[in-house]
Amino acid sequence: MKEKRGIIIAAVLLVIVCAGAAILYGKFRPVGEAGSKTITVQVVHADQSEKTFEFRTDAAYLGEVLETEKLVDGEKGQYGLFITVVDGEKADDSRQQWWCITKGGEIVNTSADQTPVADGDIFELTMKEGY
Amino acid sequence: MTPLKTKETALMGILSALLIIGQVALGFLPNIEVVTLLIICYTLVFGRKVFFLIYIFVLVEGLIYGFGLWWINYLYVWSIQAVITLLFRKQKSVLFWSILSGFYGITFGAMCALPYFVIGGPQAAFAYWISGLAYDIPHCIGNVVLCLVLFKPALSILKKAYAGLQVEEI
Repeated sequence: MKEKRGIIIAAVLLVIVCAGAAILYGKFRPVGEAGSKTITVQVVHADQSEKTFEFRTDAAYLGEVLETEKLVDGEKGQYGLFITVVDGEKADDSRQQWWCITKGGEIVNTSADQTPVADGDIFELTMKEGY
Repeated sequence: MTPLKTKETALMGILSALLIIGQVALGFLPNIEVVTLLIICYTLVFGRKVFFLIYIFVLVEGLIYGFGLWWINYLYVWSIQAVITLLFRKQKSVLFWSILSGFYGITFGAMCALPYFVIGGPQAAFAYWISGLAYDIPHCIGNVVLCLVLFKPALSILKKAYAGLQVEEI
């Protein structure tokens, strides 16, 4: 009987945690803007060479812009697009290389698919080495 | 921990392969996975030897998908699950294990946010965790349902396979 009550309490707790998670997500999730906008994407390659791209888009999230413009390629992971190739350069896992997304120099902590874009935003895609 | 015998090692190799196949086969579904269920069952049958299975799985996952930042998470998330399972190993209730696997699902993103806490601080970890919550909820529901349906048959098959192995060695 005591065990049964414990399981019921744990089940209720799990439902509460899920509901709390849904509320938190709804309140704090990154939301993209609708409408036309222009964004700039600066690519810094492993050899430190730089290229700047300007895109006009109606997309709300960065991943969609980059994929539509064929600037990046990657794998769809559990949290969205994981960028592996930018402007033709592939990150080499054996050298612990990865593509870092920053916005105005600040690290972006969401995947490209979940990073909202606004008119005038400047993003940087920089090849990093070492985790 | 006693050293692994040859047949036991072979069985563990097969079971690690099953973990990998299970993960890869369901990889296209957002966070619907059998790895949690299998790790619970493996832990209940093999006890502390489950860590051999987990780290074979983690190594092969790295070889398949590349040793990205996510791989750092894999070094501890599955082991935490195994340790918690070991703590409750006397539990027999399918409901109990289903609820626990649900908690694994809903807290998966939070556990994976730890490296981001170290690299970028609390704000980075929070942003990463929040962006993943939309995936953690189906992960939780999927874990509960899979465990409710598959826990008993999976555990029964595993116990028979392990018992058969021990009989053969006598």
